[in-house]
Amino acid sequence: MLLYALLTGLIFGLYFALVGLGMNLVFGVMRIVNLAHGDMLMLGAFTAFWLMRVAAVSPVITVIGTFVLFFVIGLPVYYALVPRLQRSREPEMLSLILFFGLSQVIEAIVSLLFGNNERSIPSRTLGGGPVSIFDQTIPFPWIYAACVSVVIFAGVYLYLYHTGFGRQTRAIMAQREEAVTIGIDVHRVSAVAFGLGTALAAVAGVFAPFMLGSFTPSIGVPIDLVSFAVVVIGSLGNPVGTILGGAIYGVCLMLMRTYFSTLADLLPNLVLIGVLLVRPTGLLGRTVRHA
Amino acid sequence: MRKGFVRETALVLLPLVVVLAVMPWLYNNQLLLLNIVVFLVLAQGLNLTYGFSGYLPFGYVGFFGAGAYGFALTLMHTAAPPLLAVLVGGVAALLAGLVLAPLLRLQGAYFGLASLAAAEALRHVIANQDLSEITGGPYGVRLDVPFRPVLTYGLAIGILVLVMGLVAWLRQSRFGLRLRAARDNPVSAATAGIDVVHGRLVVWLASATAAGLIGAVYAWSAPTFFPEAVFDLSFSIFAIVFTLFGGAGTLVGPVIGVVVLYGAYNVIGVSAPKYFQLVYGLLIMALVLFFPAGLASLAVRRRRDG
Amino acid sequence: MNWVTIARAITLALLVSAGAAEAADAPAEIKVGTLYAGSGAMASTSVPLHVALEYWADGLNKGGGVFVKGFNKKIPIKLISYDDQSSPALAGNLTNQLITQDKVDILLADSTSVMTAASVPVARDHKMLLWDVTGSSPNFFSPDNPYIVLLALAATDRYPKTIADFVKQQMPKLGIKSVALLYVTADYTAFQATAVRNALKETPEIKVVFDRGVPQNTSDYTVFVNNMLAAKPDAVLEFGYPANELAFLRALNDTDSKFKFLFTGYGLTEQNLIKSNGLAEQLHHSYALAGPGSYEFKVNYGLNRHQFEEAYEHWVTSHNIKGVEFGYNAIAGYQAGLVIERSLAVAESLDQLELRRAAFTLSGNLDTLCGPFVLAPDGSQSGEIAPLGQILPPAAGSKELGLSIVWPADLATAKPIYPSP
Repeated sequence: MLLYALLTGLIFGLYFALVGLGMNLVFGVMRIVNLAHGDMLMLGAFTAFWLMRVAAVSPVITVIGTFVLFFVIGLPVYYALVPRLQRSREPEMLSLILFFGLSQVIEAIVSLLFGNNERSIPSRTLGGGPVSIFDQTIPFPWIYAACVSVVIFAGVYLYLYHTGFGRQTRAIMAQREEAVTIGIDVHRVSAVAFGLGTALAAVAGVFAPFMLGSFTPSIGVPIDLVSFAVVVIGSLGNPVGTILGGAIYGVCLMLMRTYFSTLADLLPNLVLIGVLLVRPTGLLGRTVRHA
Repeated sequence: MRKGFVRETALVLLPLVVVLAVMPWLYNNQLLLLNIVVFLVLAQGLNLTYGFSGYLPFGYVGFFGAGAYGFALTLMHTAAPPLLAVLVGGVAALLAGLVLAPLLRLQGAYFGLASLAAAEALRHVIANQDLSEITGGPYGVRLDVPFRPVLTYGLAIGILVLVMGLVAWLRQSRFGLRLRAARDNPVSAATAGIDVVHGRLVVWLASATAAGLIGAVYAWSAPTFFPEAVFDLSFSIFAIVFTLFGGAGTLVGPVIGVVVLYGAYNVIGVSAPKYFQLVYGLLIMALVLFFPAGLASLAVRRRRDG
Repeated sequence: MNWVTIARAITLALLVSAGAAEAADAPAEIKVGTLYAGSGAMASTSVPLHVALEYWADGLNKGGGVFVKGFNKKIPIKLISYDDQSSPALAGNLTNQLITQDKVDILLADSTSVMTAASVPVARDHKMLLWDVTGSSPNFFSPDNPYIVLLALAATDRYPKTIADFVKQQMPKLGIKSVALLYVTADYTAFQATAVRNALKETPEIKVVFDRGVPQNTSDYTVFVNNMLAAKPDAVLEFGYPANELAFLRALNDTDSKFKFLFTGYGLTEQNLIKSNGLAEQLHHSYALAGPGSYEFKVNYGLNRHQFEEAYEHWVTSHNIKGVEFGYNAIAGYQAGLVIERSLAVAESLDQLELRRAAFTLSGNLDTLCGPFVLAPDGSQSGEIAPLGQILPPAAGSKELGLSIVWPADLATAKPIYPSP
């Protein structure tokens, strides 16, 4: 049971790292707490539902298609909302309200158009039955989602550390003002980061129908809460930390489910508080700065 | 300094209290009126901590829930009168605030999210099945408390007067000015040798107590509830949205926020129930994009220009 | 003109005006107020119920309205609905709005106990009868509160009677020696688990080898299924809300797990939802309470289950309503309408306590698609107790799952197949 909890915790955590990654990227670059992140994920789940379940598109094409589609959707959303927001006095705090509003709008439109009942996609759509690792039975979709997560982490890492645009992105994350003075086009880089954040949320959403049992238009807020925990444990604005945060969250959750199941929801919250009390900016946070 | 305090109280607090006191004769949805006062208190309570120390607790609802359950548990397990139980609600929130005081080491979004985790943790403890005998657990609570609409509404207004009085005083007192200086520029304030930590703790505890007291009054007016109801995240979100929209750090801002946005919320909810969420979401977005500094600042700017 | 003529004229005038006054007394419409959750966590249960209420009101209005005994005529219904967005605080406000501003004649609560809780004290304080559709928490009912009746679901402490009796009386006979309990720690499901646990305490030959509560927002059951398998129980009893059931069945599916005896809380009640999520196979040979969504109760009023399902699906399609599934909640909404309609046909006036009296006259006499309608003195429902059914794989050539009733003995149509093949 212990081994099973650790193993499933790690795999589940990898997926939740993917769930939090986009939120963290957007926060790191734009200092925006994106409360609509969970709703972007929900839209991704709907996209996957239509593509895979209704139109029988293959999973790989669904993932790629969703990524591209939501990257493209993210760009105009950025230009419509963020530059205007950043001209205000306290953009970080106002972002909360703005994106809370956006999340309400998205949920309302989806509810009105498609209704509220639970939807999911049968696991066999992904192909493959349960997988045995160290004699432990793991659901196939978990392995699939974890593998996709790893590929995406690698992609994001390569983007951030080995491309010019990625280096500019990191420059903005580290020192926004200096990045401006050395001539980086902040809006262009930020728009791409926002598009990426949206696309990452949507790709995480492709697997939501498999990982969450089912989904409805109102899964946004609970997803946001989990993303917060994952992202904060690992450090805001540090995409690498998100993987660590996801793993810690996943393992803690599964251990609690195994040994103290009624308190399963309590622990991630306590871990978050505990980590921050010991390291006020998360496990991989740099020295105290104004987040 | 005294003059400013008197002027703000006379211009904002007094008319507000008069209007609230008269409203029950003009409009008989008492529960809505009570909820308006509840949100006024929550918004001003949040204003205390955010407006004067820069801490924005997403988990502010935790204190509200602590107050509601402090009230409920007192009535369930003792023979105390409801009025005393309301005070216990305030004390419960004060204690929760003390326990969470170490979070004040955190900054910005870290603080906000940690307080949210704390509120969620408190809810899970109260809703835990193993504590059903004590807290009612997931089965919720039903209180046999007399229905006293006039008294609960009066109490709520009383709590509002206390909180707004404190905000008005902080705006003018040297203590409050020091806090605000520290909020806007922590480095210089710290080097100036101001005991910022102490001051922040005081407003933090006052803010928690206010939410606890009003949580207790809320529980009195809606005495059958489940843990989800009093730890509902939308209390936090609304209090934050109302305060920021109106303008934090001012006395009139949160009032404008509640009256305009909570008013609109209820008007839309009744007139266009089907498009409720959509219209309200669009309204909030439009307000942030077009009035990003809050409505109160707009008024201030006008006055300066004119 | 003499005094007699004048007196006659005055008398006539008085009579006419009195007659006019009497006619004016009958309202132009019966205002039925309700709340529903158009968004948020409760939306998927609340919306189908509200759609059924709309269907019911529309049907009556097409026939000229609802017959009201107090006025001895048919009066059209006006359904006033507000969206509470799954927020109890807002539900309290809106309930008050329905009472004080809209002045409704009939006040309905939103579905689920969490949302109903907000309306209970408000209705009581305003001396309005709350027509509680599915808020079955025992917390709502007390002898000193006459302002509530529960319509479409046995009170939570009575609902699990069939399964508890089955555990005590039948499980040992089947040779079941160990049981695993897995339940969501919310009001409704935890009560059921408690009833079963108490029954097991009285049955020393059965051991409880696994007993776990999980939070309501648990969306993944893989670890629990694995740990239950490790405990090797003969029987598994699982209680959750529909979203939990989907997650649980998915975990069974994804890990290829099977138990010799499996009971699920919603296996029959929300079978359509489970089917549309592609998990029907996991239900083969499992047990569930045969609620009105799957069991055909004998009716003496209103449509039966089959007729209503057709009518409801037609309504949903013809009104282009998306993402609404026929199931227990749809039936509950229709059931609420039926009870209200029958009560108005009996009540001498629209006085709230008279309406309550009218609802009580139906107790024991009304059989609808929800089963026999029986009210306990505190207004809670003690009829509508579902029998225990075993779900069978579709017969050859059919796509529909089969069903046999295995308990109580007087309703049983077959013996349980144990262990499941």
